[in-house]
Amino acid sequence: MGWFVRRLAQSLVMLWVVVSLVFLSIHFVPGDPAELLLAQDGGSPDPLMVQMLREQLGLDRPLPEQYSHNVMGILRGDLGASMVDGSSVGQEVMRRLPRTLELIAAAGILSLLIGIPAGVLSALRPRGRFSRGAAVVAGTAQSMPVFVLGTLLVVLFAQVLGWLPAGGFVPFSRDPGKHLQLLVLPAATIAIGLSAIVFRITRTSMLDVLPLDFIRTARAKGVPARRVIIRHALRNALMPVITVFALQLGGLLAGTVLVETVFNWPGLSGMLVAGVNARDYPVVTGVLVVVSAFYIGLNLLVDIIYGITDPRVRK
Amino acid sequence: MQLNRRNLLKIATMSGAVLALGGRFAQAQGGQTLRVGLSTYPPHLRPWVNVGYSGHLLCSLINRTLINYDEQGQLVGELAESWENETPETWRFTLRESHFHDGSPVTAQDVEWTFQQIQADGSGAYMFDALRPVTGFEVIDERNFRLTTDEPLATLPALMTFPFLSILKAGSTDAEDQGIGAGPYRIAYAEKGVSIELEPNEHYFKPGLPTLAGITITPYVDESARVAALNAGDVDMIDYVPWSAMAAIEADPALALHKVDAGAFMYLSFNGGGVFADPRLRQAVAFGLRRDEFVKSIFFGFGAEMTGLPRAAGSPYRHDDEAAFWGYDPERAKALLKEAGHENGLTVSLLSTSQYSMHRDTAVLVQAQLAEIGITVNLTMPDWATRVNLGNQGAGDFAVQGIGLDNLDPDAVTTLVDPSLSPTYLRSRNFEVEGLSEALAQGRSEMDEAKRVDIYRRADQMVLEATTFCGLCYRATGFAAKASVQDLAMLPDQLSPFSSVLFDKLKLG
Repeated sequence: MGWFVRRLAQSLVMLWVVVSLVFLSIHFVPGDPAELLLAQDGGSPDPLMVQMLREQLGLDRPLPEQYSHNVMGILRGDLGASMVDGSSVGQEVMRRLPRTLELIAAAGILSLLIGIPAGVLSALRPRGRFSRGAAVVAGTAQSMPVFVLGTLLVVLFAQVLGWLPAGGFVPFSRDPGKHLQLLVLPAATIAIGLSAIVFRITRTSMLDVLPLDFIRTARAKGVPARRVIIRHALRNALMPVITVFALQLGGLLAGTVLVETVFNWPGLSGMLVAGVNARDYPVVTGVLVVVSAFYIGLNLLVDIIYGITDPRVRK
Repeated sequence: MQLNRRNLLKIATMSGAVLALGGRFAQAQGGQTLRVGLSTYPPHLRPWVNVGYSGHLLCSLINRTLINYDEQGQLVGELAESWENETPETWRFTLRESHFHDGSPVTAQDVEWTFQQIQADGSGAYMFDALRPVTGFEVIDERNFRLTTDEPLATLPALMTFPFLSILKAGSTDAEDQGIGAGPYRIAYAEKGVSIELEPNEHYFKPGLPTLAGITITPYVDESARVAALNAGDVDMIDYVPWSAMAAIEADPALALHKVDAGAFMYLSFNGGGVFADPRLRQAVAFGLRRDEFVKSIFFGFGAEMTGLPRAAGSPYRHDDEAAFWGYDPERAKALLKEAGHENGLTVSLLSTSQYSMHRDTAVLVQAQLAEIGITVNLTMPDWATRVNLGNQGAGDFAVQGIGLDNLDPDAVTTLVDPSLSPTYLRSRNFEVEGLSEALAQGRSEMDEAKRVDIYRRADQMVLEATTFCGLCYRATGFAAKASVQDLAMLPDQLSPFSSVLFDKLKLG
């Protein structure tokens, strides 16, 4: 129990450090939200107006006061209000987070469906045509920037073939069919690169497992080949795949900016970028706190699971 | 449910059906609803605050101003039926019979309340500054009111056309941010960052308008995505057409490019705190630039050279000799440098931003061209937020700027050309031009147009000689639409980015 409390305390300290770093960095970067708000498309604000708006937004207060206000708000679960439109940052994050999670989940599932079978098949005949071809395709997919890949998919499937919309978002509750249609291309864009990674790890891991004694024993006992591969080899080869896959998915939480931009998907990354551009301090802090909390929470969870499965960790 | 092949097949079939039905549903929704791909989702729906060109498009679909411009650039009444200058300091307005979205009539009291909101301290309203000269508002009756200004103000009718001077129902912003306007459409549904659906306002004052069953606005921040959405048929119309895509759209028979070449423009402002205190050096810069290259390389040929001040074609305030003042003359530029004691060269810093390609590329081209006449330019190009901040602090010897005009009155350029006004990032600073402020003030207070033409000609000559503003090029304003979109009209020249005030007439064929 003491170990768990210690880990929890460590996580909270980590979160506080993140909040402080984010607050300091965004405030020390040049740029004034009040000036930007009044300078849309060439607006030329009078310095007096800028000053009045700064007072209204609380930007004229000393930095330590702004910091303590910020931290106290987060402790109360209040991420503040956007300086641009006054809306609740917490509500906006909660509205956008599921969209990003949905995109990541769809891409993740798609990449597993492509990467794992391809990796297994490739490992079964490592020098075969399929293996060589798949390696070339995976290399290409991995090295292609997502905005290039996304744009190519838009040109092909939206403009040339006209099968899918070029981008956008419709809530599932308003039009489920349209919602799924709009999910296909951005999810595929992320999945193509991700499946290449899954393919490579699966292939390597399978190649490590297949020559082991227990596989030879299973074959010698007359277990059908498919069963040997799926039940015995793949099951043992999946651990590194899951580890790498989980890390990749975590990185996507705030890293889908380009895909969200190309496909006009209103997720968390877009909110973060818009917040940085507008120097909307509460938005930047709010998004990063949620993303960090998500990471730290996941780490804590993994540590706890390790601690339960391997008591040595707790020492 | 157990995941076996049979169940997997069922799921796949159901998903396919949902996708297919979705497509049909989307098509059925099309009908007479216009789908617009907008360059950005308005940062907020608060009226009177500047939300940029795309925000203005929404604003002008749901709200109306008192006066407007027509396609020829002439002032026409919108909510105001007529206006007259009773005395040099008083203007009487008569409202036409019109109604807000909720059916209530637009009254003088609503106009008074709107003015009070804009003029309140801390309102953040775009017109806060411009309405300072309006010192009195008198409600005569339901349909008539009188405005008093602190001094004669010839520009007052033009001020009433300002993009963010929407007249709203008194008190209506208490319930929801956008209030209740009197525009051709009203907001039926809005999800931040996702889409806005508009429905027609059955109380709109123009007979037979609007004709559309509705408008769906979807933001496409990425310009390639916006064009792709139009090409793919996801939307019927887009704003802010990227210059790189204009040629392809023009060549596509299924699409129509609606553009005005002399739209918003790029220019340089100078900081007189350094070497550019010397007007000869400012002139040297102005004469050392080949403006056709800016149009060709940055705007793909969709724009026009700017060799004078931004005066609309056909305006009595435009004079051919002044409009062509800054021709490319490298010898003259070098002579001016020599005369100013810099025959061996000059090193200056140019402030721009790397965030927007037109600002970045303009700076790079200025740097390359000025090197040919012996001026070494060091570039400072942070992100936009930092650039605005540095500009307001007076950083850099000169700066790249981009802007459109709010109205076609000759006074509209005052905020750009008079360096004696309060220092902001958008105009030259730290020097003055003798007699310029006085001439511009005289122009604002003179009611006789012939006299105004003379006054502004004199002021323009002062600006050109002193080069308080160095025009580079106009960039084309473009809307692209399917051929089925009809009656898409545009405002002339520098006002064209605000053309959406004419979109109440849009039709789908």
